[in-house]
Amino acid sequence: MTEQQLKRTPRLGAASHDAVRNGLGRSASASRTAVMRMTALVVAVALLTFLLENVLVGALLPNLPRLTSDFSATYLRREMRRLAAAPPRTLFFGDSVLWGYRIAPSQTAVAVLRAEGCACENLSLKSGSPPNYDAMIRIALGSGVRPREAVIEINQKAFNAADPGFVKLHPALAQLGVPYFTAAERRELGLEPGTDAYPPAWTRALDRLSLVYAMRTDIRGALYGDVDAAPPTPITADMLEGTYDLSPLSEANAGIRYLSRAVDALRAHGIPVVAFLTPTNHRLLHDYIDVPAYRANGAYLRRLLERHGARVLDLDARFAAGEFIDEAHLTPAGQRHLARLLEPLVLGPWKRDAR
Amino acid sequence: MTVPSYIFLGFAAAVALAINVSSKAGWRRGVLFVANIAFFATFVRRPLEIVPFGALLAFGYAAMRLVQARKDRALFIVFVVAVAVAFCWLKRYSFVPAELFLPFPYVAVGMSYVFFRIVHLIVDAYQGTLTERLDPLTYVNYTLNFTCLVAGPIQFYGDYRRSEREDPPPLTGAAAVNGAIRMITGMFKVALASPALTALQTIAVTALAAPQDPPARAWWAALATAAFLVGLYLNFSGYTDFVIGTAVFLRIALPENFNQPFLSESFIDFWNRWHITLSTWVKTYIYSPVFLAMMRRVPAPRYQPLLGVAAYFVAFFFVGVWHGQTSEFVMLGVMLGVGVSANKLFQIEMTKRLGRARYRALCAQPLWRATSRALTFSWFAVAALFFWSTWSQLGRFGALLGPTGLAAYAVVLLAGSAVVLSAYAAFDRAIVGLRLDGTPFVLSPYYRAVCYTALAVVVFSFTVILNAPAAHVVYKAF
Repeated sequence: MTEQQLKRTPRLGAASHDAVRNGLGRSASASRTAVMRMTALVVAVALLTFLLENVLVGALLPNLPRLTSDFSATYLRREMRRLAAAPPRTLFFGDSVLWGYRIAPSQTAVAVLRAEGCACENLSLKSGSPPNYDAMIRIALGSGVRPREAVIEINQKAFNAADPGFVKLHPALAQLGVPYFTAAERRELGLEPGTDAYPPAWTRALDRLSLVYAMRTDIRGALYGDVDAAPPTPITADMLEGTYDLSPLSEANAGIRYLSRAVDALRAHGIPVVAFLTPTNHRLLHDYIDVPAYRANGAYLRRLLERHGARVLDLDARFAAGEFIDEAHLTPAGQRHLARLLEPLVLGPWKRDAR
Repeated sequence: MTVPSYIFLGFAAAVALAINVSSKAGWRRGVLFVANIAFFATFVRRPLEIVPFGALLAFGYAAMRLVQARKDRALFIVFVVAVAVAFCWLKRYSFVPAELFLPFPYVAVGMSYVFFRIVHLIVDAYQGTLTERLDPLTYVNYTLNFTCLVAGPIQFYGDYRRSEREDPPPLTGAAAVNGAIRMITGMFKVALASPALTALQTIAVTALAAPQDPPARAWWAALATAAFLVGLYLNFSGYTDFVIGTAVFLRIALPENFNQPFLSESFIDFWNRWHITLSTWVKTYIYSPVFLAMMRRVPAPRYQPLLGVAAYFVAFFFVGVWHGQTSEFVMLGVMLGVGVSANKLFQIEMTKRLGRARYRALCAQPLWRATSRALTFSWFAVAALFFWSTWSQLGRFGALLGPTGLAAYAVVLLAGSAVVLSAYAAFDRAIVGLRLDGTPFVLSPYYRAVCYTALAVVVFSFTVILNAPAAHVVYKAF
């Protein structure tokens, strides 16, 4: 029987179906039973398929090469469980530079180090900032993740109140991080119930009910990738005016508070911290950042981090303009350069361990 | 509005509700008219954009009515040529000087399919097959039928008329279930299966360009060639399934467009199973007139088979050229024309040599059937290279493979398709042969409930929860 015959002869199916629907040659109750049986079958199959989808997602989506732009709270929770079970040697926390904006996950500095044998994990965010690092670190520590060391990328841009991530958490971090913040911090970060960052109860219920729903953004990332499709637009210096707030940094700055707290939390668990100041394109940003105020803020950050027990690596002016895709993000060659610079700090002890 | 999409589904549901309020023909026609105009309007951003399409429609209507009234051969020819020229001009065919093109954007969605319907009406009006005097409302409803405007199927007016007012198919519970099944199948094919094949094709093309051993190159080239064709089938047949299913709820019976084309055992048979409505139109309005015209000029019966071969070439050359506006599509036309006419010649020659009975017996041999399927598939897949590649890409393809690689590519494509299609045919036979209480298992309501419920959940999860991009239908470009 051909496809067309099958399509054109719903007679047989139709007849059977009509028999079920209309109870041809049967009593009314038999017909009702048949309809109920069919309805029950449809519902059961729908539920089973739904269940199977969830099982498959759970089995086939173990971990992505890096956190997607809109990773889910469920995915992060799973990642934390995985990291707690098999603690990495080094955990990296950073923003788009370490995350690898506009390059493949395999081209990032962390991936380069991994390829060389370092048990590194990259928990960088496409839009990172001190409150996001703080939330991520507290969630990790709260989940029992205990790396042997942590590396934090420090970008002066993120201490500017105009920065999008200044006091704004990634939705997944907002969802999981609520217990770690005080009432005042929750207000500051917009985590109060009813705000956009705090998901309503029905979303959480759906998240619990369906892994496919809860991890929809991660599945999307796995299927379509998280590569920025549009080619990078040439950045000119005037487009970056206002990116750097050169007012003197102090404890009054929210970013400084969250950064200090994050480093303290790691140190309190006995985890050594390496912090590096983000590679910055001085040629492009010369007019804004090659000024004493910028250098003073850099020095302030170094002192602050050292005071909190972190080792600091200043990479601010160590990269050539050709190593940047745009104003701040590194090319694959730039990432390899970054990996080489981090290696003595991060891998040095590892290499000694290996020996 | 994208078809298939959930927005379209909502729109069609609203139309279905409205149309089934009353069974009066006038009500049905009125609701369909409003729906057709509303659907068409979703493609229009500025009123000016509608003018060229509207002018083509109006001209087609006037031509049909005039030809019907006068039955004048010269007038008929002038109008058919004028409609064809207007179509080529509006579709911006590359042989039309670019300076002549309209200097503003306009709606061209479904114009090819509307063109086929207009020509069909004019020809039938001239031949007297169209006895009825179409009023503008019926004309608009037929030509702009929203269920098949975007990419067909191309429905003949008589069939449409029966659905619209004479004998609309009843919307029973069974019909609704069948309609829903077609829609689910269609969405699955377009939204999930076809993109998967496209992804496979992309992987193969990328691998082909990377440094490879010659045998690996041949394998990737064959995979890319086959993946495109299967993906295209899933895309187009999925769209057709979806619109046929949608039309069920409007009590409109749309014609089938596909019938397991990859099981065809000859290129001629292939065109009875692939884009059936287009090939039927082409056979009716190109093949038959060309064949008759040639027979009138060369009436000797011994040349008749050869004239048939030539007419086949012309008809399927047109099919290829219709697909696009560039020279690659001329080559596609040549490939399709050569495929069909060579197949016809071969059939004539074999029948002459072996006799009808022995040739038929040969065609029934399993090995012959597998080889024929593979040849048919491979020829069309290679012809389709001109559909999705430019000359420079094809040049690079040839350069990457080299003469030995091209030979290996042909062997891999033929052998691979022979094995895969034979397995598919065996699987199909086994599935269709399965019976439950004397009924084919695939038609059992329980099997259908299980299979299509699961499919519906998967399609729903994929498209809604994962926010999958709107499914792209390749043939809407034509």
